[in-house]
Amino acid sequence: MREVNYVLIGGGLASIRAARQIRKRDPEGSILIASDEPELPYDRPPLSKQFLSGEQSADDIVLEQASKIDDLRIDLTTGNKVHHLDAAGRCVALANGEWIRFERALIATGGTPVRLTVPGADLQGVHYLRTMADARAIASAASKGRRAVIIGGGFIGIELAATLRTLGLDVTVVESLPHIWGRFAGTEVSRFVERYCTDRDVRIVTSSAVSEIRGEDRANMVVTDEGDQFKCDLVCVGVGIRPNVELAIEAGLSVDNGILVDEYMRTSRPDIFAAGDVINWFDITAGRRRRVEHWGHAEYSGQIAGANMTGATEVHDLLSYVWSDIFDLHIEFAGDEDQRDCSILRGDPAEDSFFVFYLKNGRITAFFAVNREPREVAVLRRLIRTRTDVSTRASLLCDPASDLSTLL
Amino acid sequence: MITEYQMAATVDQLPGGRILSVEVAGESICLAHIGDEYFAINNICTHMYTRLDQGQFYPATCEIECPLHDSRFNFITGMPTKPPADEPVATYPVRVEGDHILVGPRKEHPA
Repeated sequence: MREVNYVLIGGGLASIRAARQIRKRDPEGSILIASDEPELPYDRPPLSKQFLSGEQSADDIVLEQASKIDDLRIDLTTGNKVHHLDAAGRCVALANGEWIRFERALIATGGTPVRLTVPGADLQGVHYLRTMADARAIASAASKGRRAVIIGGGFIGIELAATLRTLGLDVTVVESLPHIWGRFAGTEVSRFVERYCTDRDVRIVTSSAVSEIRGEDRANMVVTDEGDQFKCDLVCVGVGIRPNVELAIEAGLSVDNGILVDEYMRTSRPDIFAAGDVINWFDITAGRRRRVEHWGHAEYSGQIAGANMTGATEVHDLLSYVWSDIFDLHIEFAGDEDQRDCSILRGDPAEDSFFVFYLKNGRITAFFAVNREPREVAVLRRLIRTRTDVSTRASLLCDPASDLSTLL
Repeated sequence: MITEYQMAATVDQLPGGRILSVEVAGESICLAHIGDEYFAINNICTHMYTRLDQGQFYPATCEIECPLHDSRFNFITGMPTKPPADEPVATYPVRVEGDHILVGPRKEHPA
């Protein structure tokens, strides 16, 4: 049986960043990345934006060029999914039949889009977006179609809507909650993004659940439980992902809404680490367990896992962040969206430049930033990290001309 | 691009324990005055595009923290000292002549 020091399961951002950290700290260790996808590891955020629109090619979005992977002496096997993980025997089975014995393993298997179960959901022309192949299929359908319906008004759905609208399609977003981005954004931000999209002729329908997708062999209409009917040539569904925990369960690891890891990215088994969308980790910056599906977390957790697989004791202490690009709008978010008892607006959404702060017990826990200075972002990140009580300074927080750094 | 030593600032613009962002020959540079010495690094974070001088400066450890995602870089070596940044920033040699702070051609560092 072939033996390696490190096997990294999954070919996404977390694995690649883990491999780089391992190589920095262990110049001689053998590293194998096993990816189920056929491409070189690539960056996913452009799939809903520049890659879909054609502004960026597959080559533009690879995470590391093949020559760099060679330079780092990473053995990459693509289109070769890990089928079995034997934790006690410390070995994995690849799709090509090969068994690999390892010293340390990383599980970075990401997630799979949640599938709709309404009638017609399995029709041709109903798309999900996770992989480059998915994005290519949407681009191909968009090039032939005129009308798109997006089911789900989250990050993916709204980015897809903006890109498809920019490509000239007639776009309708159907969201079941009263506002888009409803799971983490308050009404100030949701309304702002909705207005930004509707001003650019994206139709947004909220508080409306999809009851059926109709079509002969291809989807041509989306029907809501309100009775609305939207004709379409393609449907894109973005209603979340579920973590790919099957290998972890097979290996007997603790799993609860993701693979349970500590702040060092260690699973319940020694020598097996996990990172990225698939983990439920203890977030020391939030003081609670979380599972998030953000690029920044996939990168950072991969880096921490990689370092610790070589024997380091680094802690995942990243203050969670995420961004979204919608038309020419860039929105940054940082912190923990689930900890809020009030929100404060700073600046004017009508001028496309503002913050929304979330507070809990008088402390800032999270913020949205639209077209604000990085200096202010730095101050806010420190205020969240230090759990500074700002309850008596609400008037300063509200005043966009005030200097936030006086709160530090 | 800087091809020979060029004036970047005057010493009175950069008191001890402070940083200063300057543009020299089209390059965005962050200068630091630490102890008796001056240092210069490229001002753009290697992780995601933003200006490092907007972040927190730690003169005691010769580090600057990126305002967006809290990566840190060493001012002397350009190396990242805290993730998520993984790639070093370029450094520039610095010379003081009279009241003038001059920077020379950039030095790239292997990751």
